[in-house]
Amino acid sequence: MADRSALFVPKPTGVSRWLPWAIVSVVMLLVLIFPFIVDRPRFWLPNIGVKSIWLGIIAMSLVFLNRYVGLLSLAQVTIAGISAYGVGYMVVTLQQDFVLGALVGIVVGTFAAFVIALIAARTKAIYFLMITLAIGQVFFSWASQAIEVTGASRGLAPIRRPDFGLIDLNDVTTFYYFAVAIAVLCYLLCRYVAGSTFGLALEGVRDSPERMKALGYNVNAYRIAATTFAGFIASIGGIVLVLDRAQVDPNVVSLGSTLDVLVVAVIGGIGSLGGVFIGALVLTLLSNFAQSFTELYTALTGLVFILILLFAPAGLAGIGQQVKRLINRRRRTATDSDGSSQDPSATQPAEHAITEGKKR
Amino acid sequence: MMRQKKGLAAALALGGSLLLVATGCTAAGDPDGDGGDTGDGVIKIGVLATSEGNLAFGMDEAKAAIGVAMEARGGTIDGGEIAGQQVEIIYAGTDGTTASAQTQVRRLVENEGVDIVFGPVSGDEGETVVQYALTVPEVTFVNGSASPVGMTLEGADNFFRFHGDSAMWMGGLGTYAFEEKGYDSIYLLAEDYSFPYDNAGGFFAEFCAAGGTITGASWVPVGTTDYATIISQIPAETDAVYTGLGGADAASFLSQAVTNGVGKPLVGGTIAVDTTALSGDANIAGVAVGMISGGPVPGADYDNPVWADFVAEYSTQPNAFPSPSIFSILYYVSFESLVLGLEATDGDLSDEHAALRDALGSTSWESPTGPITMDANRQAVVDNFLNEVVEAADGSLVLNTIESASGVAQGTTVYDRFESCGDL
Amino acid sequence: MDQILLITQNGLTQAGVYFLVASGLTLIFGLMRVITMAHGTSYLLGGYVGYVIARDTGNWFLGVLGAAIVIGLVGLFIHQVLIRRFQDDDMRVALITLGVSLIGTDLMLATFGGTATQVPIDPELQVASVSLPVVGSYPVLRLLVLLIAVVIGVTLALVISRTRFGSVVRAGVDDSPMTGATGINVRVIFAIVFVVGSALAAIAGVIGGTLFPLLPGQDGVYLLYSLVVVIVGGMGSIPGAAIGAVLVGLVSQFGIVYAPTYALVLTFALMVIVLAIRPQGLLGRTV
Repeated sequence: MADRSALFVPKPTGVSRWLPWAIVSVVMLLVLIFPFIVDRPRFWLPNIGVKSIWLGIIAMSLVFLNRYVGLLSLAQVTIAGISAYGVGYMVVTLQQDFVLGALVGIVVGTFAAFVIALIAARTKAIYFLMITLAIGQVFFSWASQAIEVTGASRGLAPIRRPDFGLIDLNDVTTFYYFAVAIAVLCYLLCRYVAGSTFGLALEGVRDSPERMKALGYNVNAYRIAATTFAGFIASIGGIVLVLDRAQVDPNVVSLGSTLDVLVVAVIGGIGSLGGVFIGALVLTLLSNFAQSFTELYTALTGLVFILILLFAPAGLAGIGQQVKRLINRRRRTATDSDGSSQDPSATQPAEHAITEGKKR
Repeated sequence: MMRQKKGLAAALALGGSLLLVATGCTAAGDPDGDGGDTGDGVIKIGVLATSEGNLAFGMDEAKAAIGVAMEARGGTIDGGEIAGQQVEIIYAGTDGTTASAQTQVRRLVENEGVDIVFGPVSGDEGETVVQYALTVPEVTFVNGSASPVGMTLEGADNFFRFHGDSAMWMGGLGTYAFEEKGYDSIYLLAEDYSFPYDNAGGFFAEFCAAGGTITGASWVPVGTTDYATIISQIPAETDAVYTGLGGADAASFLSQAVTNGVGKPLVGGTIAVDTTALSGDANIAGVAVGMISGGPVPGADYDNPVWADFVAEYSTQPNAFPSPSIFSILYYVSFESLVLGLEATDGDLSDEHAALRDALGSTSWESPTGPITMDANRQAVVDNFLNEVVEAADGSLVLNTIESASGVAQGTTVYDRFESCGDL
Repeated sequence: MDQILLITQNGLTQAGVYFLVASGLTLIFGLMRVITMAHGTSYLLGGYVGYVIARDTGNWFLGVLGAAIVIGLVGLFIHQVLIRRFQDDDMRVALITLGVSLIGTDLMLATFGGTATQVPIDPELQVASVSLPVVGSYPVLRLLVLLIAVVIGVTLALVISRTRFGSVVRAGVDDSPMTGATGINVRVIFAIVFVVGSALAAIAGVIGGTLFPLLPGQDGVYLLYSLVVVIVGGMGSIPGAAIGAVLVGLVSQFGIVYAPTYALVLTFALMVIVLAIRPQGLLGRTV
């Protein structure tokens, strides 16, 4: 993998070298055999599998922005929704092909992210949070009213899954693997961008915007570019969403959906790109099965949310990570003088990511 | 980068183990997971109702309705025996949004393997469920209380509605307002979404046909709480104001109509006034008395033995309201229709429920709210009630039935925003 | 012309409620540099508490007072237990209070139900109206709300700019370690401001709950409106909140007459326009 920062990491030895790969392999294997180990694939694959994937992709775009740019955006669901509406308008209203619709959706969603960035990127982190929240609500109220374009509360339906001959998305197993592939590609893309020169500059902008400015970087342009890139990822999440739901209506971009994605990001660990998928899985399982043991499902979610913020800000992914860190600390003490200490966030990435707002 | 890989590894490990735990301990259900199975001899009915959000009482009302129908046959809300067949009833709660309706209806069909889906409550949910019904032709759907006109016009052969749609709920009121009340011109004030379109459409189509005119229209966004300015827009030369609002918006409008003074009689949409609004603390008597409205719920003075029996049975159910709400009435009428169909066919679900669907499609019985028959679109033809708010001797407000319109059938117009009679 | 004046008058009275909610938010932000996302919860819970007290005692003013005290205490709890430790971490405070609002929404729904209620007030006052020049007959109740908002707003502005407490608050904003070094207990000041900010939301809840209905969802609505008001006016500025509230009130009232379909969109669009021109808000200090 073209991974520049890997140069700075000392060669891990023994267990710490193969263990992560072993775990990744085992889990990828689990993800791949998932269709064969569940008792009711027709239920599990779309309702738990694919839904976790699109929730995760949208949350991943939020985490990317937070981790590498230090901005917490509550408009990622809106961007995904705009992309989904793009598909809906092309397919339902204009009777176009799904692939064309998906392309238009991604372009429209990414462009919307660019516009949001133009409005909001000049501001501080806490403002950015509020502004993106409010922009999300503008779109929600517009989508609920603009009957000519969005079909108002009726929404746009039906948006049928395409059949590409060899790949027929109407088959749940094919659809599941398709979604997995998209998620993996999105993850790798985020990782690639984060590791590129651009990504390193982003972290510089996040940590010391003044210094970057002095070095001649256009700080604003970097933030806008990163927000647009995150919008692109969220738009792809929107495409998977619309494939799964087969319709798009204002509920997709409601405050509740926005909070869902935020909860997913926080539970998974707001500094971890991969962790979002655990958060998504937890939320999806809860929303399907929680009502068999509690009526106060939202309060329960809120409580877990607060407890994680208070005691484990790195989320569920961070808990595992902390254990890993303990193992590695022992091994590294001797050689770790120029390695991961390069990056101040190495010790507690999520902690760092959340506190970022105060620094600017 | 190293630390990221570990984060991913840990994340995936946790996720994987969670999945294993989750899949390992799912509730026992239909083993082949394709729904609509008939081999096990148990008829599974999955009920969709709202258990969260503003309509959270929908689930209690649905259970009360099902309780009345099942207890009459020696069963409980969880099931019993119908026509010699074991029936199991499974409940799935939604929060009234399309997303949660979609999640829960799929869970019922694909995880619980139900044969029949019964529900949902709200209109948005209903449209979603119909779209889903089109994709699972082997499952039979009986609507709960969702009322969009379009639902039975989508061509879903497996979808049945045993009560009126939003437009039918205004059946008879337009003519009554013009001829009996003598309103020649009415100002239209309604929320800007599909339910009020259909509801107001049903009223004005009739009112305009009778010779009335619309003096103007305000379609306000749902959630509008300040009506002072809108009230000032009502033209002086109008005879009455059509109030197509519901819930909080209606409560808001009525109380501000008192404060700001409307000075015109009101004609209500189906959900503008109900028992809850009338018994609330807000001081709305000044504008509410004399307000006429239409809908599937009869007034307090409705005299019908079948209705009286139903109300008596309903009041013995847990969490019952003082009188049945629109939801328990519609859920009861629909569920009883379904049970009658099952009884007529001895619970025969073979051949994609062919016998049952034939029976449901030709349902005909005397319900608590009048006779029910079916049209070709699997949509009921029903009686509709015209109600008026009156002040009782003790000063409280009650809804009385002025008239009931019989044999109201569905039109084929799905209404949209309109400003004048010419638009209809 | 009468029409326009009447709409303006309605916009101003509605702005009164918006200002009352937003003033608490902007006060807290002004001193502590944190945003509490549970502000809408304080509004709605305050309204409900006021409703219960006013219904049972028959005294509206007791309802306002009781709501302010109860929600003030709730605010104290939130501040001391949940956010004091993270005072310097505005993002985490925003997220934690968002979690509080999730729980609050669910618990209020379970307690007060999903149907709309309104805080009861003397029926005579509800229908009373006075004759205003040009506008004509106008409800007294709405004028009263405007009056309360103006009185509270002026009081807040005076306390902050003229009193010793106010000067400590202002000093705390500019340099809290320094202020602490002079022997003033900044923590106590922070707690007081958080309690007052929450109590203001509760008062707004009772007043808003008298004019408009109280029901689940209004917490989110008023959180959003108060965010828009303070973003437009400039965060941390009381006069800014007043200007923001007036603009939002006017836009929503004119919007509902001249472009009803997009009335809500226009209100939010106002915020976007202000941000595009002046990111720190009309009276805000530079970001």
